Amino acid sequence: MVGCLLLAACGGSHGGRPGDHSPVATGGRPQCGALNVTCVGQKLDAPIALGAFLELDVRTQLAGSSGPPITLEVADKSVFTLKGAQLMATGAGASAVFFVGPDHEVIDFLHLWVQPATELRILRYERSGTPIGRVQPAVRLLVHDELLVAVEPYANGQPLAGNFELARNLAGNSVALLPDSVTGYYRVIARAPGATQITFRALNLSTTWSIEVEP
Amino acid sequence: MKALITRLVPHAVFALLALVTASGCVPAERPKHVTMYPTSGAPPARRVELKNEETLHAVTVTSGVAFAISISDDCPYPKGAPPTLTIADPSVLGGRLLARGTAKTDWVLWGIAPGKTTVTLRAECASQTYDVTVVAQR
Repeated sequence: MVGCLLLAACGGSHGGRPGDHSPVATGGRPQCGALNVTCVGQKLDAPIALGAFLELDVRTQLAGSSGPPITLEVADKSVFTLKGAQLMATGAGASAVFFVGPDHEVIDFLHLWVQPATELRILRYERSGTPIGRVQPAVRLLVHDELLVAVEPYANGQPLAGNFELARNLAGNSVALLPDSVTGYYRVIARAPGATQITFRALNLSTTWSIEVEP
Repeated sequence: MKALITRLVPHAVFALLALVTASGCVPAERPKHVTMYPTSGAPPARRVELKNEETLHAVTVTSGVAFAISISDDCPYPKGAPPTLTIADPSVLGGRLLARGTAKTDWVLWGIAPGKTTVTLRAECASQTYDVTVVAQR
């Protein structure tokens, strides 16, 4: 059997890296799996944050066959639990994830890592989705300025994958914070002069962002 | 003279055969084997070790780690059913056929929980048992 199986992590509904639902549209070089018939999209280039979830969009390219029906299975249920096609990162470590085809035969597998996050960072993106960089802890905006940001987990300087529930709290009303239509992104819109402090909480971590809006 | 030679030749052949046999030069039938070998490795900081030595057939794998294996045997052709793979304690080690053609000799094994078990391969002409140790990953 000659084939290739492409995967990408799809965005969740709240925090984490913004989703890209097109697994072949990622710009990075995919990492191929244990049997060299599995290729992993750019979104799986890091451990998954403990407590986060990851939804895999599985694509297969098999010679002489369309992609067969595939279900996921995991080797170590203390590291991942499965909810349909969604992997829940429940324990630190590594576990193989199997892509199981008809008759319970394994088509391919790869190992995914789970690591506790040590930090939440706020990253700014262009509308095109290109990352610009990490935002300063305190920023100054003009009325009608708009920023596109995402809150992403890191561990010891390494970005982590996965999506998670993200709580947010605004102290002040000089800015509006709106979830974007693409999951993972938030729009920060300067509405009126004044100061606002935004606090994001997720994965037992929090980060605070001070925004001063000038006339 | 001719009669003497005729009478001695069978004895000479027998003596020669006895000599060759006693010297161990007669090719005895080689024992048949069935073995497995890994076709994929472990992720960083994790273990997959498979030993195929004369007196030691053993596997060590970290819990949560999977690796592909291929089974080969030297049973004579034509071969019938593919070799079977049996795991004594499936709560320690998992195994599943890989979707790879019709030979059915490619499997994936993975450590489920720390502990010891065995894997037994059975081909038409041979069998082999591997001692398996699954070690904790943390």
